Amino acid sequence: MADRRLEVRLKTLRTQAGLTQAELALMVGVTRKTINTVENGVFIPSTVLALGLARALGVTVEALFSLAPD
Amino acid sequence: MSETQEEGITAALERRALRAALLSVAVGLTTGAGEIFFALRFNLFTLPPQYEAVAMLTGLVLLFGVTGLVAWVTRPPPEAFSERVVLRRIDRTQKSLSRTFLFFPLLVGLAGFVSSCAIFRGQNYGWRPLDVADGLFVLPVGGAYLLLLTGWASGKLGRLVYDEELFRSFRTRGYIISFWSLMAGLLLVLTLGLVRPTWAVEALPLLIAAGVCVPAVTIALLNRRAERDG
Repeated sequence: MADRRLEVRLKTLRTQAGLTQAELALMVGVTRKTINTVENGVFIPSTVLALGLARALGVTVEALFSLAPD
Repeated sequence: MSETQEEGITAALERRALRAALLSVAVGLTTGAGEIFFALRFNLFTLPPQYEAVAMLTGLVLLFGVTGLVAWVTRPPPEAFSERVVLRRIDRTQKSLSRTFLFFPLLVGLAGFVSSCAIFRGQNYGWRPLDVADGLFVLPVGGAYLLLLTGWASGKLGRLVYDEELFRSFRTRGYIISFWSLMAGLLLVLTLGLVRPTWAVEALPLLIAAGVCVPAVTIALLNRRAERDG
């Protein structure tokens, strides 16, 4: 499920938006655990969920996720 | 629906679930005690096996009937089925599903064992109607749990719980592990069958039980691990 090349900035952007994990989860329609595992890099979300998260936070997907330089 | 109303409904649903659980335990204990009382009172163990089958069937009908009645009495109000409330409770629902999945090996394994013993009895001492029924016992039990595992019996809002992304990925991993376990099990059964075919038939209910249990336990363990990661 996890991939070391993926850099996730969900936690930073979520805190900046003043949202808790539970609030963001409710906005996107997933569990708090899903948000938590995405933030920890344990679970890589699908494109649909990544787009949903970006929309909920008002940012682009690239701002949330990026590939670590080789 | 306002945030406070949603929280109120969620709290009421939790109280209702607790009441339903307590009532179900009471019903289970009463039915079990009733069966034991009647079995001892009418010396069921000395009667022909047909009476045992009738007693078992009566007990099951009674148990399902009263459990259904409990479920009806403690059924959630219509507001509980709105998408927002389901989403609010999704974490808790998945957690209780995982807890149920951890009981799979106990119940389905027991059903597999009963079927395996019945097949053994049937093959060695001749088939009685009760042995045939017991031999097939693992199928309805396994089938019922398969419905619970896949969520095929759940409605549109129930799908929200099953199709939640992380849970779906856990299920996929569970099915993959189950596939390989079944393949290994089939190889073992085939080997047993080559040595003595009757052993292979006796082992089949246990393999069916394992096929249902492995994904269930995998989902439950992955779910627990995801909780720990937080």
